[in-house]
Amino acid sequence: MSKITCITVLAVLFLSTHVFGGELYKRILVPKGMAIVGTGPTELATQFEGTRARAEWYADETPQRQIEVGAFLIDSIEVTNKRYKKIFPAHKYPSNLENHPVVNVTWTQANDFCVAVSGRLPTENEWERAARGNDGNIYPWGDEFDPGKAVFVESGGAEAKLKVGSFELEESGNTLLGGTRPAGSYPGGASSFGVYDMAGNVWEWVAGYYDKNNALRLLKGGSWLTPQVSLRSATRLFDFDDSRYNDYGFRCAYNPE
Amino acid sequence: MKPFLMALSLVFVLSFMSGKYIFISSAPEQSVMGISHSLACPCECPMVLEDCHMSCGLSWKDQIGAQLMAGKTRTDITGYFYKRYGEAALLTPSQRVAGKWYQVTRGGYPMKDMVLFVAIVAVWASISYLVLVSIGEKIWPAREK
Repeated sequence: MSKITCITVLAVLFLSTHVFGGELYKRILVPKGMAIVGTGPTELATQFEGTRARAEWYADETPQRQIEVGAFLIDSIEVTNKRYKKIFPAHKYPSNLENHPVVNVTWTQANDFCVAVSGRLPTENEWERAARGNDGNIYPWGDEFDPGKAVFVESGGAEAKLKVGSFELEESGNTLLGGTRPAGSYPGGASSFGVYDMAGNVWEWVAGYYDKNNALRLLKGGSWLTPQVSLRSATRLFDFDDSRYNDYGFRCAYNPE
Repeated sequence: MKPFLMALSLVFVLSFMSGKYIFISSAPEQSVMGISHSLACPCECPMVLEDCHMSCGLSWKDQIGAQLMAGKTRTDITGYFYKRYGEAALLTPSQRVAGKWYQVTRGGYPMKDMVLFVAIVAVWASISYLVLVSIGEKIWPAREK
């Protein structure tokens, strides 16, 4: 291999890991396989014991099904402010949040970014395959919940549970009795494919519709504001594609060459 | 006997009015106010969302309205808020009582409102007393016989 080729390869590796969101950023290859999507009704009821959550609120996850998904690549971490600004220079954020997931982006903005980097938003089936692995785990790391493996409402302490709606008035994902954390800062919470933050930090826009007739898009994964039960990989949240909140972000997927 | 019936009437009317005000919404269930009745105000105040008119509360009401227009049901919308915010979006019975008490008292104690309240309670307690007395007169003479 020539010196120029070596330098080029090293430069690409350096840029992809150190420039676009820290050392953790890379494109993970998820091989072709069966995605276990959704939750069965029996499992749904048992997963809410001890909470005030009602199974009927999460009934849109049923039934559980297995769907074959082709190979694809997916970002190892959520798109960060630093990476987003490379494509959209007008993007502003607090200087201490460059490695935090970009927030306050609409579905359209997320989609435009992914297209600009020669990718696309992942489909729901792809997202769940990347999060749940071959075994269809409830959480990316397994079936048992571990609060030390995700950024969610309890990560900010007891006060973060109070009056969470007032955080919506803040433009950034800044630490407001909680807030976002740097992408990939909970390595123990990675999925079996090595994808970080599939539970918590920010909800992630995915491709397609939750309800096409009413133009409702779909988000996955839970965020720094959500309770534990919303961190399950099967959880589905609907919202309008022009919605923007400081707990909504995204990551990109790519077709293998 | 009559003082007892007067007190009973008063307790009955006050309990009914309080219970209805705190726990039962006059708005249809599938409406913004009907759904707001079951959610906590997300602002710094302890109110029920239906009583909150601050920007963060109005933001949530706007979302509820938009989702209703998109065909979502009360279950869907309540689920949406729980998925995003967890138990902070819901009300416990004690939080509901505290929220309604805050709503009633936050404007101070205007004389006009207090007089009107006392007058309404007095009217309904009187009606209730008369009903109880007439029932008592029908039952009690029958027992004496």
